[in-house]
Amino acid sequence: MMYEVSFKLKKEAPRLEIDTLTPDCLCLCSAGEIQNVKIWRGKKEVPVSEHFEVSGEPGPTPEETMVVIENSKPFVHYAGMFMSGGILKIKGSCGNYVGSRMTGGVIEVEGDVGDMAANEMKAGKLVVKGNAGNYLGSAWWGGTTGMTGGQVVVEGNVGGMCGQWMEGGSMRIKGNVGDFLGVKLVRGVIIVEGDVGYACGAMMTYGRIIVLGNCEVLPTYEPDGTYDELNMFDEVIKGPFQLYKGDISEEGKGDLYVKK
Amino acid sequence: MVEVHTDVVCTFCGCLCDDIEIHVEDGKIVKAVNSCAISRAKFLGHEGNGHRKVKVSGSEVSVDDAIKKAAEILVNAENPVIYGLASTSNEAIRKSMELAEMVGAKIDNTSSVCHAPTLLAMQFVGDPKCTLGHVRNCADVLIFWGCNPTQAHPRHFDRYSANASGYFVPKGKDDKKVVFIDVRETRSTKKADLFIKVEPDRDVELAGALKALLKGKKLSKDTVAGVKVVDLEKLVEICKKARFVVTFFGLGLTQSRGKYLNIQAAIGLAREFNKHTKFHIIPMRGHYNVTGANAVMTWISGFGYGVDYSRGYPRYSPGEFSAVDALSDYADAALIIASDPVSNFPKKAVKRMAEMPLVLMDPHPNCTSLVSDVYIPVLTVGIETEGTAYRMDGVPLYARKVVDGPAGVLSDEEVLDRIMEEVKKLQG
Amino acid sequence: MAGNMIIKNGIVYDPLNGVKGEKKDIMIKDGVVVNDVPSDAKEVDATGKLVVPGGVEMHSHIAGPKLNAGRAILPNDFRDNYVVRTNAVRALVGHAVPTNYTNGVKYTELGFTTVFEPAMAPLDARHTFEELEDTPNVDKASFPVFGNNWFVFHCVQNNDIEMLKAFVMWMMTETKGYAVKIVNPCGVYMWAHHHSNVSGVDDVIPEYEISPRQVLRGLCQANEELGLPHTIHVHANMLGRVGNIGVTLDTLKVVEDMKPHPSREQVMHLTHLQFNCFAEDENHRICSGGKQLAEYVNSHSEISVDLGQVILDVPTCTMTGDGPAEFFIHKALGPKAKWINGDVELECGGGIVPVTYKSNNPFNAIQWAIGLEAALTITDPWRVIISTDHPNGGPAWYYPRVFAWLMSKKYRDDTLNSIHSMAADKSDLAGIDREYTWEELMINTRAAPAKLLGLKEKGHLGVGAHGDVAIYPLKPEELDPTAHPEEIEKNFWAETVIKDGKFLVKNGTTIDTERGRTYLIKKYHKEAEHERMLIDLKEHFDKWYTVTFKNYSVQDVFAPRPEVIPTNPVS
Repeated sequence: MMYEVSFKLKKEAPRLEIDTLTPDCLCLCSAGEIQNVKIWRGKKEVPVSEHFEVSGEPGPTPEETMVVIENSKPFVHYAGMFMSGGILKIKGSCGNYVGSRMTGGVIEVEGDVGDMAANEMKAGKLVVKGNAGNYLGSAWWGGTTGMTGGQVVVEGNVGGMCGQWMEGGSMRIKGNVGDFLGVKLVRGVIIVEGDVGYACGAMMTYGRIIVLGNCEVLPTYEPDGTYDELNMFDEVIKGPFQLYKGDISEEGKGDLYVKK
Repeated sequence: MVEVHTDVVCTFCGCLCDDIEIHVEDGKIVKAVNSCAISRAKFLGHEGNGHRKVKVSGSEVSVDDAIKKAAEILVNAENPVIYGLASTSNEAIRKSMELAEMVGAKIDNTSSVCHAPTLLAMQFVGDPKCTLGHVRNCADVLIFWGCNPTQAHPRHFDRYSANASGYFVPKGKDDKKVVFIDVRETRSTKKADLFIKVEPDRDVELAGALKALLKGKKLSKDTVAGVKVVDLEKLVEICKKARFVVTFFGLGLTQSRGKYLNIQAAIGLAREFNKHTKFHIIPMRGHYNVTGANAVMTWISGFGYGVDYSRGYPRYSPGEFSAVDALSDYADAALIIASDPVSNFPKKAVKRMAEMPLVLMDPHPNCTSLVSDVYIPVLTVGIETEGTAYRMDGVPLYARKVVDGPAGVLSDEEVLDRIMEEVKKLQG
Repeated sequence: MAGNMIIKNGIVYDPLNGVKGEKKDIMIKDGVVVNDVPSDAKEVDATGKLVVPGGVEMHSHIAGPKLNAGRAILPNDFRDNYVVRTNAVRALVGHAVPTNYTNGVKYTELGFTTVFEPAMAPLDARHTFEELEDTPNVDKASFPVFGNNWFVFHCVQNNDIEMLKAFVMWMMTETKGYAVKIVNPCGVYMWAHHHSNVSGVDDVIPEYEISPRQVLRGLCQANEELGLPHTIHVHANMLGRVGNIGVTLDTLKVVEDMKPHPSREQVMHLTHLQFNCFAEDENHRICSGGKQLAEYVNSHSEISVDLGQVILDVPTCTMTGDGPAEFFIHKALGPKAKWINGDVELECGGGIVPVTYKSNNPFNAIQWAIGLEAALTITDPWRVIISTDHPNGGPAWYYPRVFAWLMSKKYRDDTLNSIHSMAADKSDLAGIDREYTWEELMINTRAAPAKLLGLKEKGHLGVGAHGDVAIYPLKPEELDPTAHPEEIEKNFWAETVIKDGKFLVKNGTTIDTERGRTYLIKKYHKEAEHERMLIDLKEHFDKWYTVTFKNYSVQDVFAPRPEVIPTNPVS
């Protein structure tokens, strides 16, 4: 059975950090205690009820808990960090680090997300109906391992450095993607239905990128055959595709498929 | 009676020249020998326009009142920002960090709008480098990539690089090959033995192509980023045969499309070259102590810039906690130290700075002081007070004072100490 | 300064004064150990607990440009390792390469009150001292490096021992150094200038036509004749290379016939021996040379060593002045390895490569065995010091685990049997039954390092010693380390730490911080030799340095609480 806790934004703030509003943190509270769960507003820790109307009750485990953030805005940051199970629904947009380092569960965002969404994701699923900012599924600064598992789906557009140092899992993006898609990609699959920006697959070592829209291919990629269609996750993606192998300034064993 | 001070450290740019000779007469600097034009202007013009008065809301007040007001502003704000730091001493920066931790502020230095991409790149791959004297003594091939030393670091060529002679390159310029990579000709590129004109925003491709060629791969194209592949092959050969290559780079790489990825690709190239010969890569740091600002912030918080203390321990998030982002978006107060963000930050940040409680500590009034609520003039490091600064290659020098500052004007450290005392009182 | 105190009923180990686990009271007055305090002295109840002098760490990379470069490329080390600030203690952050503040607080909580930085680039000395100043509590010092310095080579080339002595003295006093550190002598010069290395003590380098042997002997002689408080502190050639045990033994033999200063027997300290004890099996693969080295040390009282023990499965960072070794390590670790190289004009070099030693990696597993094998085979505890070469082998915060391995055969066998089997196959560790006693441990971590460093008021609790005391929640009369090593690992964090008679840690929590002393060498020079040396030295500055002679010296503001140790020059 799914228990539901709802937080409806009632009072705005320049910046809120809601990393405590996950199924993992909330399932440890009783229905009465959730009013007083602390969130960060700047340098102050405040009860969540100061900014959100709180209702519902959490389940006994993360898997049995659904958290809904209503009327969410871009200044609401860190939603779903470290989530290991359950569901987090964000009605509206939210800020940075959504689903950062999650190990399970599902996050659905109706609007946009900021930077570093699904940063170092290990498992689970993130669905963004709107747009995503930069560093989707990326490693953290100085980290040489990005997303290692799980699924990311974005219906809108995505910014730059998407999939940086990615080492597993999959991404599907319906819109356009900015510069440096799959930079330092080590393993994993990224499928883009729209166009991609500059330097797609820069410094990639292994991994697979499939682009259905426009893509300017770097000079360190070598054409390596054509394919009429591709079989990916039990789905047939119709081509035809030109395969490019690269980045030859690195190991050069990555696959970049561009629809002709 | 003229006092002559020798071996004076110039506190303007990252070259941190320490052979300046300053002549002082009646407490005033009258001559600067060995200085470049920028340095001379700083020394001879150190008194500024003379309007170094402490002000709160436009009215002259005592420094104690201004300090109390500054403390109140920082304590009462929920998202205070401390920014600047690159043009003051390490001693002041250490105190700034202590203050940031006390008031739960974000703290950032000017590298976040300059060489932060370099720091980000190094976080991912590291950095083969050396001190400038090692460059002078050993380098027989110099590559200047996206920088213009004759304008930004006027004595660099003579003291450290293209024209300097050293142990293994005794004939100076004649023992060296100088390569410039840039999007256009500049005054500096006229010194080049080889000028490579790269298409704007395509440096990362160039670095990748050079690395692939170095690894013995063949490229399927004839030109990369507007440069003929045969010319790239020549450059690779020049470097492979060299005994010691040093690449200097500037904002042409850090601020063009790709940013830290440009540097990351360039460092990746440097690492590959190290399998064949000595190959170092060194950023051309701008302000005289931006290197020190990064160093001090790192040894105190673990991170070189873009730090936040709002949760009582340091967190790092460039693009989120860095000054431009915080000031444009959610910051509600700021303490600016030794900088002038109102003169060069994006419009949205400037507008918000004008509207929020703002404190400026700087030797002289500037654009930021036009909109600040509190302005506290402070002593100029290296002229009116001493302090430690780090050269662009990390070498630490101690800048001494050569003249007294105006009566009643304190150093950054003293002001920060007093602000912290007031903050302690307010916090109970 | 704190008032008078009497620490009562503790089980005291003070090996320097022959106290081996006696129930004894320790009295401190005005920050110094005394044998009588007034009746109103504060009583500290240490009943049954281990009471020992504050630890003395002689080799830990805690301050300076190398360490800061390591921090700069490891934001991850800070992201998840933090302690929120309190009113008494600032935020603590970092694990393998913590901030200076964290280093000072954590070392104190471990029960150490003196920590020395073992490798400082002289040109960057101010940076090292700024970081030391931001390291609270512990008394400290720094070792400038000499083994690849152009001017040292100049003196050695000319066989000019007097000029070399004058230069060593000048360097010590002008860069506020404490001991002569030598890193891969001649090898780092070869890397910095020729993209190369040396492979043995008799390799001859170009430009100077001298060998590591000559550099080692020259600096050793200079050091002993100057009467500096510590011997030369040596990181041998060929660090990290399979088969390097031969070069290491050659290095020790280089000084076999050197004359020590009359005050001591030793002439050389070999540091982080583990990295230099890689023997070679019949397939040219690594096996342990720890026993070989230990046997040499046992029959050569002129040598002291420290371990450089590896800690497995903990992210850490290598950082040394050995530029070519770090280049080699980064290549060995693969394309994802981060690498920093830093050559310093005329003086030295260095490198940083983050690493995690893995228990299922045969090479790392054998490395783990080497340090322990050597430590348990060396019979004289006064000449073997416990270290992890923090952070090269692992963070110092794992010392309690190292103590447990040394004190309990079962504990180390458990580890030996759980890691890659090569550790057991390629070392003699499995067959060693010896277990360190409490007394031996306190010699290794207190009495011996203090003695080897020439710190007369440290490492013991006799009258006149600094009032530096650590009280551990361990009861030597009740606890059997053999059977309960997990208690050793868990509880070798101090419950109470007193420094100069002031409480810094109480109930295992830091309650206060202060600033420690900086140990310096008293200036001594023969005027004529000094002047002669300066002529040649100034020429080096004019021609090749990019800082002026006048700006080179480290100003006194960088060591605000100096403690000057006299040297006792011979002749």
